[in-house]
Amino acid sequence: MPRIPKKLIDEMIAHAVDDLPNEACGQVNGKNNKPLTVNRVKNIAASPFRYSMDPLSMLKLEQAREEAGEYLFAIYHSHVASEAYPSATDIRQAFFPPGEFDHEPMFPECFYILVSLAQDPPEVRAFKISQGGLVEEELINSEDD
Amino acid sequence: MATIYIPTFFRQITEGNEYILVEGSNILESLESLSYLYPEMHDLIFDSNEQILRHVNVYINNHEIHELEGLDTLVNTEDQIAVIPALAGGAMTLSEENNGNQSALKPEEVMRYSRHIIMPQVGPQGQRKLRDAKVLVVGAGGLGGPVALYLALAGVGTIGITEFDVVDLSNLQRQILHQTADIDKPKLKSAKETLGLYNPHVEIIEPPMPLTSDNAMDIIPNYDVVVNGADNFATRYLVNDACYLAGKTLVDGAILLFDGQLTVYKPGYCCYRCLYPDPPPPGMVPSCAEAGVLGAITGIIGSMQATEVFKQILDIGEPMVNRLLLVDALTMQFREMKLRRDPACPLCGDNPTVKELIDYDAFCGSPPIEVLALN
Repeated sequence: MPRIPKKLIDEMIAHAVDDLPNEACGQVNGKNNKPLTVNRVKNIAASPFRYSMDPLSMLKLEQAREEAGEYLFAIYHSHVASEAYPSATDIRQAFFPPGEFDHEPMFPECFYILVSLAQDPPEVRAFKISQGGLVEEELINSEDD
Repeated sequence: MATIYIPTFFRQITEGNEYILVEGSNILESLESLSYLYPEMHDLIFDSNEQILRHVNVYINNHEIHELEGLDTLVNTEDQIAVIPALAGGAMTLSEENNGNQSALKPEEVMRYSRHIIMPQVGPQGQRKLRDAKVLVVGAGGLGGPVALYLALAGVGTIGITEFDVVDLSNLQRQILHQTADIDKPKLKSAKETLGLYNPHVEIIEPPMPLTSDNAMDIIPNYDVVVNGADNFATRYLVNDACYLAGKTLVDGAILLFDGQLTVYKPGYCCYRCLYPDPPPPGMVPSCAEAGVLGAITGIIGSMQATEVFKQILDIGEPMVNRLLLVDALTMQFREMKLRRDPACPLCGDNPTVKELIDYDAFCGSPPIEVLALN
């Protein structure tokens, strides 16, 4: 059960709203099992139905994480008109090459966070995607410490 | 010579190494040098034409290589190359989105059908198959009601309904498309109104009524799947024969008393005539009006018929082809019988004698259907 402070949840929702009508995407850095920062990444697909993270931003975020001893806690993105659940595309793309469900996913330890703007208030849910394309929801504990 | 930065995901291959020193005077040679050191990397970077995979981005000193000279971009000792797997996703795929506005699901549709779309067996592509599908429902009564209702709710784009009756008070114990205020209204009108309230995106087509030997071959070929909700044997034989001759799959259901049946007739497999070569003598099998029927069983069988239609359209699961399901609501036992195409079947057998539609009222010994004025 990931503990994610409400402040970070609100930052993800704000990002999703800011990037309307397109999907928003980004990365949450963490340390010692605790999420620390929400980092917006440019959606180079610039589409209401798709996202593709800007590779250079990803590269820089990853190098900065390594320097700071942090790790990729979660990948988040928004669904503007569907529910906060990984789409078939999301699940495919969790693997590399996409759709290679027999492999481990690219980030087996990382949470996939979905922000849905399909309802008011927006819904934020977290998932783990594992080998075989298995999707398991992880209940978010958003109480502040 | 240059340095390649290996992102976390690829480090399982590079034995945890973050930076790899490689030989080569350009990007291609550098990446080949990396593949030489770690052979598994090759297929994660290159496609079968030795081009960079679509899902991989290669950067040199923070520039994407296609902004430069691509794989021919020259490198030297100070240069840092990075191979970055794409991180992508979203509610739809690129090809779906690029299929043009006409075929893309609108946000309202995405939301309306989201409980279907999120299932991998449906997805946005499946939802568009449903939207593009044309299904003919024979009868808008007990079985046709739940069938048409679930098809409409799911966004099956075009639903044709053949029905010539008017709503009777005695229909309302089971026929969910009609309400008390609809009594004496043509069932087709009432059905269309109800379905339109549930889902205004669905087009309801009213073929000339009733379905007869004269018009069936003009109507049935226009649909992808046909669903039988007829209440008489003449129509059942007519629909069976017409579907077979038109090469259409027929989702068949029947109900009486506390019993129900379900099967799918697909050309090349068992058809209704394989199962019942001849109609029963007139009067031997009572109708629902004569013997009665449990209202709720229409929902059971009708919902299963709708389910079989979805499976046909989405091409998923195992259809009820060559299988007959017998439902006894009193014991709530479901039994399945294996069916086979009969080589002696007069319609789909090896030496067919029925090659066109016949006079089904004469065949079944039933009085011709009385057509009621509808307007």
